[in-house]
Amino acid sequence: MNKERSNLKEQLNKELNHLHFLGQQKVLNHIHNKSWKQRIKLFMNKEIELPILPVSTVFLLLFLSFATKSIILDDGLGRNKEKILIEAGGNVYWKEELLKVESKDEES
Amino acid sequence: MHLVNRIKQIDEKAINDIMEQYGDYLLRTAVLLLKDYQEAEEAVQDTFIIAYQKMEQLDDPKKLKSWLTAIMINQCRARFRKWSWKHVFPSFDIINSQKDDLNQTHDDLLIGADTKQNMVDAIQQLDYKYREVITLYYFNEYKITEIAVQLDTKENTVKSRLKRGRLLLKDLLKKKEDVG
Repeated sequence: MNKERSNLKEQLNKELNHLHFLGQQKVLNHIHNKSWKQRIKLFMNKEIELPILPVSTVFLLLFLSFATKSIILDDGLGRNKEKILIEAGGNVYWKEELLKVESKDEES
Repeated sequence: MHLVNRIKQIDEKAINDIMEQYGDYLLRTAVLLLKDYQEAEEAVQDTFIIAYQKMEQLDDPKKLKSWLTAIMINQCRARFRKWSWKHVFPSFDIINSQKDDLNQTHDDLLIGADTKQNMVDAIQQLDYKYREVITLYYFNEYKITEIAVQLDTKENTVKSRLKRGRLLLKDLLKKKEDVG
């Protein structure tokens, strides 16, 4: 049995020994050309270090600049002015609204 | 440092060394199983790519050869199934590739060079299940227990396939002799 086995192995080696694997370069190319999915995964897994002090300072400055800008805008447009209630003909109106209606009436 | 450890450390020269060391062996096995040089080479290429990607899963570097063989066997099985379907419904790609094959391909390597291909031809004529067992037993020199592990089947199944395969092989070789 063992002799039969070794003879057959020898015969197969003889018949197949002219065959050589020639696809090394294709394998290497495939390994180098990573897919988009792999690239994204690599990017997402990348470790980055953020210095806490400079980053938090930048965020704080941005927040403050937006906050002060909105306060200045509010003042400029007078959105926060107090509304005045007035009485006319036994009814109570917002002064601003009443003036608008009166001006419209005058125009017509 | 062992090749496996070098690959785990993404040493690309290591995969080259592995291809150098096991490429021919895997290709020859794949040719016996698939009967087609082109398909066999692609199966071996995919084997190395998978091995590179999954090298972390190989715990014992000493088992590298049998691990590569297992991957290659799975690749050949998958291709054999696809191969069968391709022949039932041949697509334009196959027709074109067959035309190309007529011009000049690696098949010439198999048939040519004045080498007697009696044994290879006979093994390739066996049904896949017998071809697989005969190849692993005689060419790869695996033990029956090892073949059972590789093919994820029972030892008795391997033994009976080996017995039947051997008889079929003898018949085929006898017929060849009679014709010759």
